Amino acid sequence: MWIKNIKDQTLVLLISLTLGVALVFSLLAAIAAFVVEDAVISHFLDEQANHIEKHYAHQGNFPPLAFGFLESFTSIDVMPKWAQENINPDRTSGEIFTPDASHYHYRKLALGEGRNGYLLAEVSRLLVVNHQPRILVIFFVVFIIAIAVAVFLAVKFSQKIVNPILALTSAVKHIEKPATSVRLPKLDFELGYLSNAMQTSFDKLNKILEQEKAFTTNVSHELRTPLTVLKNSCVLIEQRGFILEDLAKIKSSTEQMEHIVNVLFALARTETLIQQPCNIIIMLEQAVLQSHSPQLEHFQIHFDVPQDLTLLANSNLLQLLFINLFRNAAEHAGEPSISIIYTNGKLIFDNKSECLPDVDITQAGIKGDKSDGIGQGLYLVSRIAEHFNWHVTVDTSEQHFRVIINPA
Amino acid sequence: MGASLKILIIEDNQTICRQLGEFLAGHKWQIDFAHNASLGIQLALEHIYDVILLDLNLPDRDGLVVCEEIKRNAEITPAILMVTARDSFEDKAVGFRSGADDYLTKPFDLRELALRCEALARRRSLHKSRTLALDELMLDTRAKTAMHKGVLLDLTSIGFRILELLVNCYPEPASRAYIAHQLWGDAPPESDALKSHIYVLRKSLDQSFGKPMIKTVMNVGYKLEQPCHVD
Repeated sequence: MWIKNIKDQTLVLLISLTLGVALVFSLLAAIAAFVVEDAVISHFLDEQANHIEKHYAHQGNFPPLAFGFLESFTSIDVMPKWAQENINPDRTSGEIFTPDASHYHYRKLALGEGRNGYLLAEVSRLLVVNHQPRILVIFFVVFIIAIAVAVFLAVKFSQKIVNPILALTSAVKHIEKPATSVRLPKLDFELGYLSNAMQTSFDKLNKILEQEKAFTTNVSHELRTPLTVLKNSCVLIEQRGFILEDLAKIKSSTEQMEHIVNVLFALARTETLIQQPCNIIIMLEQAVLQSHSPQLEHFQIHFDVPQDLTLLANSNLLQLLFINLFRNAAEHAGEPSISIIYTNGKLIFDNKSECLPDVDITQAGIKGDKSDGIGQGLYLVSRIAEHFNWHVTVDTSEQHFRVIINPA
Repeated sequence: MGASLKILIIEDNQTICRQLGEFLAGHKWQIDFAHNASLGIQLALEHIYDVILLDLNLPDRDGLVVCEEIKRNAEITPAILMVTARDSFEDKAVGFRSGADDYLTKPFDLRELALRCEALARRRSLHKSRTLALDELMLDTRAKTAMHKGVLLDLTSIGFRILELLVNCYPEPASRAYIAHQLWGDAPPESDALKSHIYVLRKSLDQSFGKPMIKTVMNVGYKLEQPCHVD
């Protein structure tokens, strides 16, 4: 099929509709012309027949006829043979079609005493079809012009109708190409709503894709770093033999990888969608125990959290979130102490810090000056909080490092 | 490769740094460390390194910026090998466009890293003819001989290498630090050793050319005069 786009399809439909409507109305006009023409002739003959009948009743003969195309006959027998053969005696009027260009109408005349005469009219001269070809030419020319105008208007209308859709489609095609920042067009009415809705969806999708890309990239980084240490350790052990320091490096790297893998699996599992009321103080205590951080053993940990405080969350993920925060504090705190405070509906992890970053370290790949990792710890925290629809911010004022979790 | 390389490692992960240092030092190479971008740039601009191993995820600045800054400002541009966990094609493309000479993704093999360092250092001799010619002065870099108007010059081994450096730098001067680094790496024998060798070289050249050929550029180094102008 040659129609390959909505523009052509709309154009064809509009032209077809225009042509169809024009043809129907032309046909109706032609039919109306024939009906009117027929009615006029019929009415004229009726008047003439009535006049003849009245005259015959008074005078006993036919009056002289005013028009040359009329002929009157006192009976059917005096009519031409071809007329006798085509007249139906049972009908009072009718038409006689002949093989040549002539055309006849007849009327039965009531002459009294059961006798019938006939009025015969050769009306071919009165027929528009036969004797007014100029009118037909004009009709045809006007018809062609009307069709041309209709097609022109159809093209314009189809453009008016289809152009917004084409603009929308073109923008969507550009958006599908990588590294383009094309915005969908501002359109009117329902298409405007559709365009806005699509733009919003695209923006959301792009944001999510960006986040996923950043997350995947950074998790990949975070796994690659300990893997590098492990691989390097193997080469060095091969080269110069095993020393005790290697064990510490291997242990630290595997724990780091294990923790990241745990968080990733926890985030990926469907059961993490199941949330339940979690007692925060119990979860915090368990997190301290499961942090497996040697530094944390020498930490003073102060809880200022109500014993009965519960938050709706997935217990596994919440545990990992707390472990991340404790490990982060163990690694970077200026003093071996951390306070966990619940105030104004917010849970705050507060520790002193010597090196306070002036960047948002909850973002992927961002880390403090003395961070050995690649800044993934707090990004994972942020990611888990996002999973719960919680909000995480970092406050670094007054030489303190505070991670503020807002579960609202 | 017999030559000792001078390597700068710009990497914030202390463990990886120690491992790299331990392995590369085993090759008798000279290793310097920088745990952040600022120190890395400072060292790279103050010293001459054969290869810089550059991590991209540094705490104070992105490694790409560090690479661009070193390439832009270093007097003797070092080869930069990016060693990073950023493994996508886009990351590599950005890295190379920032001026990296090579790119290695973590986790890498230490042995491969060492081979790449050697290869990068060797690249300096790529596209160089065996014979260097400056008007009527001809140097055969393999035979380590120099001739003027077909007459063999009487040069010491170090004298030949200094002349080779001056011809390579011609018409620009070669800095004392650069010549010293090329001759002795990071451990020049004594402060006047270069002067002594230049003196000996001058004697040989001046005798053959009949005029002073090596010009001292104040506070910079030495420059070779155009031989035909001398003649």
